[in-house]
Parts: sequence; C-alpha cells; structure tokens
Amino acid sequence: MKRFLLAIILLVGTAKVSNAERLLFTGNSCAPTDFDYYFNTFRVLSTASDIFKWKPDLTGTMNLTCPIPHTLSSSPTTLTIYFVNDDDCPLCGTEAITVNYVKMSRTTGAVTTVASVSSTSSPVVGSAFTSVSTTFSDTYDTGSYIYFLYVYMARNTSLNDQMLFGGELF
Amino acid sequence: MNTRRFSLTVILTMMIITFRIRTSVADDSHVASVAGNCQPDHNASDIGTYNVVNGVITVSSPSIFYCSVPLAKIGTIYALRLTASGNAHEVSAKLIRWSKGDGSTWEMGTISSSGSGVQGILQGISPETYDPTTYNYYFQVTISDSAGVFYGLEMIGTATDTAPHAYQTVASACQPEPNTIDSGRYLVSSGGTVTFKGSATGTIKMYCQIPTKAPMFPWSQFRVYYKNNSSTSYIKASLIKMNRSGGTRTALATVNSQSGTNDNAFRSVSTPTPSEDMDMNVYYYYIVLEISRTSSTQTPKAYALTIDN
Repeated sequence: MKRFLLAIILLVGTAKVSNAERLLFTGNSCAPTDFDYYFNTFRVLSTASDIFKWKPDLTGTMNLTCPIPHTLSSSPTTLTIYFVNDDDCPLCGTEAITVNYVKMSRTTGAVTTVASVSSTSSPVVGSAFTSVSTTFSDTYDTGSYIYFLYVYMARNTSLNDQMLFGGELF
Repeated sequence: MNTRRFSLTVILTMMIITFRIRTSVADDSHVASVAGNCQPDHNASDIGTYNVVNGVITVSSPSIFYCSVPLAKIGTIYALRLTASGNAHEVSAKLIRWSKGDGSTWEMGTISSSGSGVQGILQGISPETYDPTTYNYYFQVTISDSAGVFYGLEMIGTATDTAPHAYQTVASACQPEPNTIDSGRYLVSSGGTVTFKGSATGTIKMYCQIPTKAPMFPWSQFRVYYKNNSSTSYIKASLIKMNRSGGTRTALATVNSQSGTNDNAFRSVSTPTPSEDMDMNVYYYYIVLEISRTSSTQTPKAYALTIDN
C-alpha cells in the first residue's frame, strides 16, 4: 500500500500536462515567394485536404518561407516533412521536396542551413503519402540568430504530382 | 502504515493533483491571426479577387484563405473566435487538422459571420486535446461575397504555458498584400530577405503574424533588421493591435530605418515595446512591414523582425 501510494504521488507529480513543443507548418499557410505568387505556380485544393501542390502544367522550383514565430523552449533536434513525391514516374528520379532549417545571424544577416530534410531519403517508391525526418544537433540561440524554414519543391515533369502537406520541428 | 500517515499521503496526493490541474487550466491560450496574415489560395492570388487594407480582407468574388497555427501552448482546444462582418456564411472558417499518419483531414469546428457590423463571434467546439504529435492544424476561411469582411480569427484552449515567448520572423515569411503581389515589385530570397525587384519603385507592404503572446513592457524591444543606403528610402515596421470585437486598430510601436544608420551595411533599429501586457483575450496582434523607395539607386532590404528582451 505504501509503495502504491508513493508510486501515485510520483506519477502525478511528474506527469506532463503540456504537449511536447512542436513548431508546425503547412504548405497552405507558409508564404510563397514573389515568383510563385506572381506567376501563380501553385495550387491549394480545398476539395483535397488543402494540400499545396503544383499548377498542373508547370515545372521548375517553387519556394515557401515558413516562420518560427515564437522561440522554442529548448533546442530542436528533429525536422520532419509530410509529402507526396512520385519518384517512380518517367523523368521523376531526381525530383525532390526539400525543407531547410535556417538561421540568420543577428550580427551580419548571413544565413546558415542548420538541417535539411529531403524527400529523396524516403524509402517509399512511387506516389504515396509519406514522411521523412532528419535529426541534428545545434545550439538554439535566439539571442544570436533568427530561425526560419525554407521549402523547395522541384520537378522536371508534370507527371510528378508533388504535394506538400507540411511538417514539424521539435 | 498508520492512519495518520495514510491520511497525510492522500492529502499530499490530492494537493499535487489540484496544483497540476490548476496550473494547466488557470488561463486560456490563444493562437491567432489577423486576416492579412493568411495565405490566399491560387484563385484569389491569381485572379486578384481580394484586397487587404489595415489587415482586413474583402473580396470581389468567392475566395479562400489559409491561416497558420504554428505553435500552440494549448492542452485542450474548446473554442473558436471569428471577427467578421457579414450575414451568415458570408465569412466562414474551419479549424482543420490532418493526420500525420495518412494525411486525412478532419474539421474540428466551424464558425461563421452572423450579421452586418463587425462582430467577434465566439463558438464552442467539441473539446479535443491539442495533439501536435499526431496532427497538424490550420484554418481555412471562405469569404463568399463582397459583403463579407474578414478581420481575424483564433483558436482557444486551456493554457499549458502562459508565459510570453520572444517573437521573431524573417521578412520573407510575412504575407504580401495583393497590391504588392500584383505589382511584381518585390523580390524574396532564400536568405529570408525582401527587397525591390529590378528598377521597381513604390512601397512593398507585408503582414507578419504574431500567433501567440510575445513579451511587451518597456524592457522588451521591437526591432527591425535591414540594409539601406539612403535616407529617403526606408524599412518601417509597425506593431499593431486589433480589437477582436470591433476591429478597431491601435499602433503600439513603430520602428523605421530612417532613424537608424543607412550605409548599406547590415543594421538594426529598435524601440521599447509599450507598457502594457499583450491581452490575447481582447486583441489580435500583428506587424505591418513596409519597404519603400522612390529611385532604383536606393537599395532598401528587410531582413527580420523581433520582439524580445
């Protein structure tokens, strides 16, 4: 009985009531670049999960900037993206969705890529919803840096119906 | 174990439970966005069906926007708030989550405008644990006709952390207003900067989201990082609060490169934040970033904005 009560005390006292802190981003709510807005390279289909994807007839590279608007409580170590990238269609082999975790120096404005995650490292072949993560180690120093995420969606052929759902940093 | 020790143990246990519940639900937590922070879908941005003035969106034909829920200090989500003007469903918003397992989406709650005149509509939803491990979240907003006016929205839940967290964003993460998009005058870099494209002149205007509570009071600084080579061109940022009920706006602080050094080197200029705490129960907060020049020989470039100590 004594051990049971002690266990309850320890369990209740140490149990977390807060969720793990995660910075979430979605393709549909980051900021497309001037080029992508002006030339309307993207589509967000409200009838299909609101995913961020290519205008059907276009190829090239689309980019998005996603803020990390409030500082995290500790150094993040994992960057994950959720996407569809058909790497099995003709001419699709080298196409990729890549997200960089970037820091900008508050002293010089210079940027450094802290971590990068790419669809090319996914074992899933063909067009299927999947995710890929990368882990990294870098001291999170908001006094010296401003952090953000930068997305690249590159395709050579419209046969690849690339889709970016979003991702997370934690 | 004797009765006295048993009773003491039970009391201690109950005290810990009570403390943890109280600390977890003692305050609301908000994740908010003014309308101008939201991303237009491809139809709105391509055809130019919308306009943004002072952070408020109006449309000429049905348009859809997406608003970010980047970081929440929330235990349980239990309500939505929409600030809008328009009859029922002229402005409507959905809080949507998608599964990280298969990408499938689920509407957690909907909220709609309910009459002309600006109103802050509070709508309860079926309480659900905020679970960023399993789901990702966003808002989808539909404005169905020109009578609908969209001011802002938020999701509300029990707070797991009421402390303000320092704010920072690079310039390119802010949303350009439609005149800036249509003019083709701005240029975004992979380094997060925004500047003028080619020989374009005029003003670039962007809206930057402050989704959750940032530190204010005079010991915090509102700062803009920039490069500029002229005292005529400028990079200006205004910290603004918008009342959630009436949509009225108040400028809280402004920083302008014209009060700093303009030698084309990387610089920053700052001002103390106001002597008032952010009240997320009453106001939406956002930043308007403006970059202006009258000649292509001027090279203003915005890098980033911060609110911190």
